[in-house]
Amino acid sequence: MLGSACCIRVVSQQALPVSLDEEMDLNLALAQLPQQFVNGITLGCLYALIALGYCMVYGVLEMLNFAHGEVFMVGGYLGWAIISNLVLGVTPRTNAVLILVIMLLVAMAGAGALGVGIEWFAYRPLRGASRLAPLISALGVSIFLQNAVMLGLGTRSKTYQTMALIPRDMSVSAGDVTIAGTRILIIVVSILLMFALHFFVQRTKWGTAMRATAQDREEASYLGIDANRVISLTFLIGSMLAGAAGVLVGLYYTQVDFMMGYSAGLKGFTATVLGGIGNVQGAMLGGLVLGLVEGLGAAFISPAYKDIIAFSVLILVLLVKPSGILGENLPEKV
Amino acid sequence: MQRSEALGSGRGFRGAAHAGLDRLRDRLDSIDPRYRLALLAIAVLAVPFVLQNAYLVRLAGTIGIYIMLAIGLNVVVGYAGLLDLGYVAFYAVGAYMYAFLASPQYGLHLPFLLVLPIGALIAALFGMLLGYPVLRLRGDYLAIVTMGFGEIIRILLVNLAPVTGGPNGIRLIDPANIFGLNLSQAVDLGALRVDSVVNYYYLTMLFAAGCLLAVSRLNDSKIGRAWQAIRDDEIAAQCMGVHKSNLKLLAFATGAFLAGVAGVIFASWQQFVSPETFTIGELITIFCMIVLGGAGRLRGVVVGAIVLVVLPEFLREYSIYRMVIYGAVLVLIMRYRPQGLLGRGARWSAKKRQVTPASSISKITSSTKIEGPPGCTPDDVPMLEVDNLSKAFGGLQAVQGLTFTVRQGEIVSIIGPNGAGKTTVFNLISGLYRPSAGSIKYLGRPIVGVPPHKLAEMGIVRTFQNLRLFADMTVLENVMVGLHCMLKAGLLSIVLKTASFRRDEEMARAKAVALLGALGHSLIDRRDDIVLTLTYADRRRVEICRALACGPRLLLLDEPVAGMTSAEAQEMTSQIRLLRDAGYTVLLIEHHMNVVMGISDRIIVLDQGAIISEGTPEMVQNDERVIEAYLGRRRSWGKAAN
Amino acid sequence: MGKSGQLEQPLLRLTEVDASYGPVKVLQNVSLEVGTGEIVALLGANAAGKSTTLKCIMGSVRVSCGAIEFCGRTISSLSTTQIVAAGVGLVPEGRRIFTRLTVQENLRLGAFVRSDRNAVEQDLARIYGLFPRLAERRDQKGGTLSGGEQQMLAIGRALMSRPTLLCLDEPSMGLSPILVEAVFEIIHGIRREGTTILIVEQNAEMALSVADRAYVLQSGQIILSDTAANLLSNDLMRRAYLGV
Repeated sequence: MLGSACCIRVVSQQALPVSLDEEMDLNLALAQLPQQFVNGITLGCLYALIALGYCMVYGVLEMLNFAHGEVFMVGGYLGWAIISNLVLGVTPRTNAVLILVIMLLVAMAGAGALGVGIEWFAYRPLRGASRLAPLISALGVSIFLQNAVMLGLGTRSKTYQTMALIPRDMSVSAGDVTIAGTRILIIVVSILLMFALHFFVQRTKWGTAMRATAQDREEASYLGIDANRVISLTFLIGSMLAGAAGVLVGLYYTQVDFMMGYSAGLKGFTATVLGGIGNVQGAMLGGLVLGLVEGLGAAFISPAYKDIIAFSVLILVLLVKPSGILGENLPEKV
Repeated sequence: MQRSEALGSGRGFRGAAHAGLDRLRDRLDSIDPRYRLALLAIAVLAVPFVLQNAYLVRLAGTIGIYIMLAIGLNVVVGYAGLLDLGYVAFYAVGAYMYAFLASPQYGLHLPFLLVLPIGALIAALFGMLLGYPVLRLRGDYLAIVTMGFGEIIRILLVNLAPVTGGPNGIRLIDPANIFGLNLSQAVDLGALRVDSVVNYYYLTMLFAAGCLLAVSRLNDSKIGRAWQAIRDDEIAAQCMGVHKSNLKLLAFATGAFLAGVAGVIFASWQQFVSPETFTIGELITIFCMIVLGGAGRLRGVVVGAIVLVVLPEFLREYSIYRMVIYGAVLVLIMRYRPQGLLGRGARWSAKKRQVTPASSISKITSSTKIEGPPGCTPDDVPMLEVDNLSKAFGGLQAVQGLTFTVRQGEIVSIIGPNGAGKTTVFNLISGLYRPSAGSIKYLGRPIVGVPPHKLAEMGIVRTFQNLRLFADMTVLENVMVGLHCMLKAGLLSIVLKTASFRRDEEMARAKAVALLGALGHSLIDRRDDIVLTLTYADRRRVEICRALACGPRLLLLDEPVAGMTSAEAQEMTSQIRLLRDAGYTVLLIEHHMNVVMGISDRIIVLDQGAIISEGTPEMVQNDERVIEAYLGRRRSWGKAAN
Repeated sequence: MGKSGQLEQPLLRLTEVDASYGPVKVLQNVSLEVGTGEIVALLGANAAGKSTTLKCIMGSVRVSCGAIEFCGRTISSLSTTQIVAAGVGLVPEGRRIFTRLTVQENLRLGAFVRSDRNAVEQDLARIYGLFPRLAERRDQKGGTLSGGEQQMLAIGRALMSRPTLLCLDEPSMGLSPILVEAVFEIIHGIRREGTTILIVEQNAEMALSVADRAYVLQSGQIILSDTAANLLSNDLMRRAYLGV
């Protein structure tokens, strides 16, 4: 590589692999359609969790938080730290649930704190600067975190002992479709978290304040709503969701590595835009659509082209509806 | 600068660093440009002989490639303000074009100098292909779509192995061969042996210099001004006759073209291309170069390229900590110097940026004569006929059923309380809004649906209530944006700086200065100041100058005296009268009743989106409905006290 | 309070306030006082600096010189949040309600700084009693309301913080005469319940009909100040507005 200043290496295609590796003919693919559908939903839930963080931050600050993928990655590592310290040999099932809960809580707490810290140190001083400045700052944070994790924990990926918590034979079957335990876990946890978020944003005082601040920060301040606290809160919640997603991805692929934030971030970001920037329901929907498109694309065309399919769908959607699936078309003020 | 000095006094090291960088910037600014160029040329030529180290010279050559890439991206991001995250794809297109056309891959071995323009043009074509559909998208949507495009190209390079060689790339690419000189071989010049790496160093530097020259010329032309205008204020730019979409496309194409040039040179130098080079990481590096140096300015971009190529090399000593430090440095620079290393701080403090040559000023006579509108108009047609015009926003009826006519050479005022729909009328006439119903005719021609830039070219030009000047541009540049449609120089003649282009620019500058002189002599002295440093009244004047530069026949002035003192308002009033005498037709929105009553031939009074009165100032002043709309209906005191 | 001279202990006092946007000076030497229980109007043509004065009081525009005191305490260095918590409420210009939030959510946000839940619920009921239209539409998005209803909502929302001083920025703007009348009726009612009011208006006649005293701003300076009754009969007013 010419550029000695290159900072993020290309991420291998397998950073978030679908379970299919070999190409297959159409009949086989059709037979597997329901299965791929489930795979797509699983992936979609993960994308949606990540997308929510981008979406909420964008809603309040109109800024792309490029470091979000790295927060997700750190969450994955925190989960790994818990699972590899607590899982010793065979564990009774009751403990498995406890360990899963601890993993999620620790990852969410750590990622949340990290997110708030990043905003406070790297973005808050730049409010009012040009739009590019926070973008570059975010890239800097992203490079820093990636490499700090690599330095501290090595370049090799870390193995999640998922099997010790969720045995391989634990699954639900319905006709041709088998849903593995990890997938069920991912879908259930994601839905719970999204429901909790929805409740928070729609029903609580601070959630309402957050929506109000996103719409009109100055006006919200006249009601005594401190924008800085709302912004910190936004970063906290978005990062907590990303931390949880990190753990779930670790359990799903049974490994985490320090590069995983980039492609996950890119997908989360894509999902956000697909659904309509700044719209929480949009981010959830965008994640699901993206996951499904990728899962089905990988089955019917080729796993190698799943990203191309995902981006093509994004571009097509935006060409038809320039502000995303659920985005509002706001007229420009003159 | 005041800001940084204040920092300097209080905060020790940080302040000193700020002051140091500012001093360095100002010192660089103060060197005579020709002198600076000569120094730079000598330094660039001397580098290989000073370094005497193949590795370091190679690194220096890399800077050349990055300069090309960074100034190309700067055209798209810095000038036109389009967040293009798919930029490396064009670099890849250039590099792979050379790999396809000059390697054993397809058995083609076309010469370097032939492939260079082909590769660059095809990259530019890709730029347009990407640009055309995404122009409708707003900033961040544009970013993600272009990013997706970049990823698509990279994945195709990896996966279309039969065509692109897949992840292994294409090897054994022909070295550049220029007029029989094979750059990959050392050249013997008697005593002096010039290595291959030195050859390529000179090649990249030569092209980097060429690209810099071309882009800086574009920047100083109507195209550069239009780009900057779009970036600062898209709506105002359109209303000055700038065709937004075309210029954005041109920015995409220009950036892609430069990336294509860089790609071809890169491929011929490495004699090997693979998808590894064209990653998002590479894009981020280039982005950082733009921002770090001081966004938007070419010099900053060059500094950024140098710093970001050299910095990791210094950090190499700390090998494994290199990228961690790199990331931290990016954050810290943004945190403590968000304007970039050599950028300027607070806008207010910006002083003269470029000095207009005195030659173009000397021609200005001190007369304050205002030139009339260009061309002649048929006598008997009304300037503007508005018929049953309505506009609703959602459920809110902003204006409804407006019918009025403006005759040629009139001053007609639209008045009415806040929220009456006056500015909406202007937005409808100038094409920014599409009416819900009704028609507008300008000189007998229906104009509903004609885009704003076209209307500006036809002669309907407006100013804005809340002042939409191009904030980062100088007074003169603002007015020169208004001249956009008058200047006919093409892309090629700008880059080649032909005589006709120079004449054109000279004429434009003289005309802009003349306009400034006509509206307020003090503006001539401040022509090279950033508009934000002017007083409110002066900014209003500049906006009117800018509108006049467009060559209007119908001038729409939205509160031209708002924020002025009464003396200034009086002066403006007489100037508006002079404009009418010079042949302009004026439609005016104004709250200042002294002004309105003093100069209007007729007055239209709006309330709640409808016309409640129309006539001469005297008629309107004594109309009970008008008094009621303005001062409110007098209510019985008994009721109020209840 | 017949005279416009110095008040003993005014609720709000601006002393020689200057403010600018960048290099542009918008307020010069503005001094005004609002006594407890008064309705004071701040009048003037467009761009005279009326809204800026309110923004200075709310702390969203910093004064470059001079002082603002509320309840005897200097507030010109406090944040907007602190000023709201201290008891100043604002109904902003142009009915800036949260169009994507429901009516009820808008109102509840008005009570953001309060923690006395039961009292908030009572106040909510009180506001709905004051504006029955809002009660009917409590679950609709703010954006679906008509202009007049939006103004009611903005006023109701500001009242939810139980302000000691309520500032209104052009409450009549863009409303039909009947609605304007209704709005001023409401303002009158609010004062009767003990809230002090500072009202910024272009509609002078209407504002003076409810106000006790008024100040007139022109180009960022106060050019007139007198009782409402005196100003109503003052020819200067008419001249300042219509240039007669």
